[in-house]
Amino acid sequence: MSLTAALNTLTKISCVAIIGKMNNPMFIKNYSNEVDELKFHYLANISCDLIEAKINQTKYNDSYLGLLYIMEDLAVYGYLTNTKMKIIIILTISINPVKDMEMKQIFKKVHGVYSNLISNPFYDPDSRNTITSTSFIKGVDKIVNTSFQNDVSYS
Amino acid sequence: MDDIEENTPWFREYKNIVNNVVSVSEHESFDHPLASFIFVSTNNKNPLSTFEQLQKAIDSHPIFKTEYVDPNIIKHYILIHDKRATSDKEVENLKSQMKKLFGLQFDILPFDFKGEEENENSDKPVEKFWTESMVTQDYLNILLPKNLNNSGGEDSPVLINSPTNNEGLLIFKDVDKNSKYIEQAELIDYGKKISSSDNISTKTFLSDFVALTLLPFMERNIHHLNEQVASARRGINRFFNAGRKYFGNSSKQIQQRNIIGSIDGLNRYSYQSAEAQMRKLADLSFMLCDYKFAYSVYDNVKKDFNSHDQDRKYYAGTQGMIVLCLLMYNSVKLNIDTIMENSVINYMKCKSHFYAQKATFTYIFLLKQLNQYKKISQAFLRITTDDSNVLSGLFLEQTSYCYLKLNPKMIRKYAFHLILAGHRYSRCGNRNHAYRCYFTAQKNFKDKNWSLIDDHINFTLGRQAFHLADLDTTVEYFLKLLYGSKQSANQQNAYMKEFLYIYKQYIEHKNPEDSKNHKDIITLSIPQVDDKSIKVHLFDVSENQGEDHLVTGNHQLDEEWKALDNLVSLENRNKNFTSFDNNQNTCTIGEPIYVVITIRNPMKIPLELDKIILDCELTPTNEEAAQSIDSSYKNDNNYLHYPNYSLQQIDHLSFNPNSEEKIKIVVIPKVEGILKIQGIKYFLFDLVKAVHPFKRKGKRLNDTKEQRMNVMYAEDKSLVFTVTPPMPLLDVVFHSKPSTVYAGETAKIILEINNKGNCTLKNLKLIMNQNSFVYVGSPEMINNELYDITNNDNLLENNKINNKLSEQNVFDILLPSLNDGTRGLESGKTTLIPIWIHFSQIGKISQRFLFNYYSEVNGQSYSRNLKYMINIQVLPSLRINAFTRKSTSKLNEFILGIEVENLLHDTTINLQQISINSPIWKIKNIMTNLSQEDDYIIEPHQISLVYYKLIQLTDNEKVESDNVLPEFYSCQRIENFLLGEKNKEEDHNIIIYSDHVKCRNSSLILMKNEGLKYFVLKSKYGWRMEKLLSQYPYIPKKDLPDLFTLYQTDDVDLLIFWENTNTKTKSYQFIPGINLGIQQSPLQYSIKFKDNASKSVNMITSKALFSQTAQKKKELLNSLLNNKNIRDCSPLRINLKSKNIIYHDFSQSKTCVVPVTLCIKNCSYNKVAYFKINMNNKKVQSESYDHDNIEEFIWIGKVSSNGFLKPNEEKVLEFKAAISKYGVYNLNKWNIKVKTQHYIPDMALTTEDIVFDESNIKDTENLYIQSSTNVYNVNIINK
Repeated sequence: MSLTAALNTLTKISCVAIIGKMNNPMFIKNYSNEVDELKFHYLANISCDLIEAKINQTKYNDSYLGLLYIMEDLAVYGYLTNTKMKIIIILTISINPVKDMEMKQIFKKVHGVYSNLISNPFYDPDSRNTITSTSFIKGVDKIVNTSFQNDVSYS
Repeated sequence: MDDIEENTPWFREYKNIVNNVVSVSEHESFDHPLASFIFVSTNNKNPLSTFEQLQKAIDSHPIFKTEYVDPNIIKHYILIHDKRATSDKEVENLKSQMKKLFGLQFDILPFDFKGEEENENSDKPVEKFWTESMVTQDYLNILLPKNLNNSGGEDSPVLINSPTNNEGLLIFKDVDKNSKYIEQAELIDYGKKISSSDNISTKTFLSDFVALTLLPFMERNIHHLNEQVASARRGINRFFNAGRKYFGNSSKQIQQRNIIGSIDGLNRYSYQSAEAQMRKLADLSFMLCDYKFAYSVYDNVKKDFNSHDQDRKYYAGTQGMIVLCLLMYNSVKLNIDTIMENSVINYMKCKSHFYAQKATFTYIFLLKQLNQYKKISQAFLRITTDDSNVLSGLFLEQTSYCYLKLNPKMIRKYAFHLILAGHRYSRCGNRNHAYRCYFTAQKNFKDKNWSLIDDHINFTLGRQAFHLADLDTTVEYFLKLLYGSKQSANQQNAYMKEFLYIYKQYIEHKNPEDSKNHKDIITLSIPQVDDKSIKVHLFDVSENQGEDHLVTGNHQLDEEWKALDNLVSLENRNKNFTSFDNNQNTCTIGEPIYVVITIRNPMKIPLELDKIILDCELTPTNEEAAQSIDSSYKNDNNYLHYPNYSLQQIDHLSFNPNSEEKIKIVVIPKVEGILKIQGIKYFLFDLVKAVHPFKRKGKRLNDTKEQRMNVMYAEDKSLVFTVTPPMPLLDVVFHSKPSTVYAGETAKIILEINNKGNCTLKNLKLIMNQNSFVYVGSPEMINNELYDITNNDNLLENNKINNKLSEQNVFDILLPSLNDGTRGLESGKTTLIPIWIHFSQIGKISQRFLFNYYSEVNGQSYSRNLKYMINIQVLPSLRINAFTRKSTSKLNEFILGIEVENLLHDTTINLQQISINSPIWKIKNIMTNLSQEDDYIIEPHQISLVYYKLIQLTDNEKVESDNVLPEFYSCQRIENFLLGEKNKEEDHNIIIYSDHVKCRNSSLILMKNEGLKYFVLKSKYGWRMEKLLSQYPYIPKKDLPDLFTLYQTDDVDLLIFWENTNTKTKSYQFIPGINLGIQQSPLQYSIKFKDNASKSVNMITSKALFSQTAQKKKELLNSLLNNKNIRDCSPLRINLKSKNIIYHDFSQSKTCVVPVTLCIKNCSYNKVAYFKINMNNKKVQSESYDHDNIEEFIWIGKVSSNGFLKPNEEKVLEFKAAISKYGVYNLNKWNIKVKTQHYIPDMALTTEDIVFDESNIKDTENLYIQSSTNVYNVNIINK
């Protein structure tokens, strides 16, 4: 297997999305080169439905909501903060299974970056504008780039 | 919506067709023939042979050649007895013949064909059930042309898989064709001759046939198959399996025997094969509702098909049936969905989409009964393939509706799948459906900030609408795409290009009527116009020095401007301008109005605007009075001329991506009326006719409850102008305006006043805010300086000033004299006016100027304003600290100390002159041998301290005047005020003496300069008002000027002049507030009130109706009588004197007697003072000093004295102190009781009046006790 082919089959984060309380998009960033960003917007949008269904159906006692659904080779994971902010991570999945613990860690990190953002007294978390803070975007970029590094090392 | 198909009749129709299509397939025995009818009419000449021929035709029907259809079927012979043509006898005859030939398998159907007559006679509407079935039949014929004719070779209907047929579904396309068929079908009136009795007999026949022939036949078949095949096969099967295991080859042969052929890699079993028979058995039992048995058989036969890919279709069929069986007998197996999925996947693999759909539809029908919408949605998704866009669209649409049936509803998934459906519809050209799907889905995304999705939907909707030839809607959707979106520049460019293309089509197809009515103008969201920042100037700003300073008419007014506006209207009201409306903006005929608009391009692509004009509306007040005004713009090609106004047109403007541009555009009104500036019009890319209406809100309303509850705004009037007849138009330019100055400096600014209007400018007023130090000169003063200088030596000036506490905020600007003797400025002329601004406060100063002028045209007065603001930074220069101390050597003399610190960093300051302004005081140098020259030059950051003395003016120096003392004046006025009487307007003047002390050998700056005097009085006014406000909080501010005076008798104001050695500018600092007099309450002199304070309170309060008012009055009176801020003190000033050093030989005389003189002066000018002085002999504890060497001394001889002093009277008393030892003694030990009384010049004064009975003080009297405070040391030295 050539290296590029191997890389293509690796699990990687394709998109990170933050959805506000009113199910309004706060932040959607596409990390994939192959998929059109519009698709991620749609996926993030329907994730709101699934997250709502998930909260209603089961007693959830964890912010991490697990795998929401799979569409083609994209797996959508959800996370709900105490302030009802939804964090959605879309993975391009490979053969290697993704461990829940691993996902949870990634979500925690993103949540941390978000917490830093809203700690800024000048940031209005209720505004319906999208997040433009550079430190937030950098933080998320770093998380995305450092996740699933183990896969690379052993392939 | 109860059913998900309710809103989609096209889907229901498709489903019905799929279910109705008769399709013979090898993998199931549904739709295989079980019985056949052979009809022959009695009208046939030889019915029996016809029967035989027909029978042969059935036997040789191609369907039986396929070998998977069981030819063993019921053949039922029916003779149709036409009662009209054939007699019963003949039928009887035929019947017996048929009995012989066909046994029991025949029937005779008697038809009387009286339908037509029946219909004529009855009122009932004709049942058109024939038509319906004929239409369906025709319809199917069209759909399945090949299938019916050529069913032999085909295993399943072709239409579903073939792409041409996909598009050919009539519901979606070829509407004409469809309608034609329906019409045709309706034209032919099928079966109208069949009467109701014929119908009934047919029905009876059919039900008899089913009950008596068909069902027994099926049951027999089941029984047979069960006995013969199934049970045996169960055994064989086991054997086969084993055989397959051990003898692979042989089993293959056995297998081969049953397989009659292989098409497309799929096996086909003969009807005789065990597999097919098993399947038939199951199907038959399913048909006869034995679902449990059917399930067991299906399950059994499934295993046979499981292992081979070639058996896939069979496998899929059985799987599907298993699911149906399970659902039918309510066996809740959790994995039915998996089985179903398996089935569908296998159907798909062998391209039998038709059967996959058929099975799924049935499955879905059953699931619906169970409300399993989640499974339904999955089932629909499963049969959605890439092969057929129409079908995928249909199924995706159904899927989306399923999400609405879920609990909770998943509206986003619903919307998403609708969009997917729309996408599929659009791919196959079903634009109406695509449009509908996107349109419905859009509602779920609206206003939720999903901008990328919104763009996508709007774009698609626009495109679909375009293809549907709905250009209006197309343009509408594309307009929504044109904004500062997050799309890339390329994408935006693509949108823009497509929009422009569409717009071109749009205007080409536009009704010419519309463009006449301006209906083709659209509102664009690009470029953005900042409505809030629109500014309107009445003259060209670039001619001015910078618009920051100019405050435009529609500028959001802050409080200070409002205050100024109020002043203007107050001033104008005084002059009886009743028609003056201050809230209205005005402009003048023929004068351009400049509108400055900020336009922003939010997109990532460049924009180009052409032919930009303002959108205005001018309603003339009177039609006939349309004067034509010659204006310089008349021949300008940049202007468009309309009857009521001319508009400037900006030809071309291009915007870079994300850029902002300010444009200035002009409208010139031509007639009187109301001009509304409504917006701007422009062409985008020289094609799109667009308008941007200005939307501005007025201030937020807050008056009523409703307004407070809701967010309501006043109407904005800043863009509405009243067009007035020609008027003067003022423009001012400030020349030599400094930006930074040092505190204390005075800037002279030359004001250039231009009249740009068409009339002579008159009555120009300048209004400024209260605390501004601006002196407006007249044109003649243009070369004057603020400081009048004389080379005379010390000079005492006297100036008569108005002592009223009033302030001038409105200045008439004196314009040059005109020929007719009045002052004014002719049209197009310019004049220069000097103004001086003094800067005393440190910080950023915003000096506001409001110029107001009015003109009278046709009996109406129009007032115009011009607002101007200059910002100046004032830097600190000096820190001055001045103080006064009582002179220790002289009575009624003071030491004035001035401490000056130079705060500048690099500049030396020369003190030039110290002046005081006072009604009775003057300044003197202190005689000293030391040179003071150095004290007047202050290096940076150095402090200099200089001293002067203040002495009272002698009567010789004073100018004779009959002015009332200010204290009397204000006392009288306060009395009136308290009694509620109105004060008369009367002048109060006072003479102020200005005394100057020159520092160094500079020349003298005189006070007589009007400008300087103005500044000084203004400063004094500010200080005095502030002071009064804090002293008398109970007196309303507006009453203060009426009650008090600017100067009081003992006031001393200090003026310090200095020169900045670097810039040679002279500056001054004014320090008010030194009062050397005796502090007294303002009502001291009031005989009325002083006589009986309590009575006077009653006197006032009795007039008050309400207790609250009375309480207030009481407080007011209290504050006037016993104000804590004013310390009432004795008017006597006492000075003790003796020799400072006394040499005494104590060996000669044991006591040294020191003569001491005590000077007492009554410093009051209006009171007589009775006093009783006592020299202190007692050693009071508190007065004891720590030093032991201060020995006791004793006052000897006369130790007390009584007397009285008239105003300004002075007495010298002699006392003697006896000292027994050398040392330093403080002789200043006395106390005095003083009683004051109002002095009436002719009153008789006797010493008998000196009764210091504290309990018996009259109301007119005040009692004070004074004692020595400071130390007066005398040194006694032993010789």
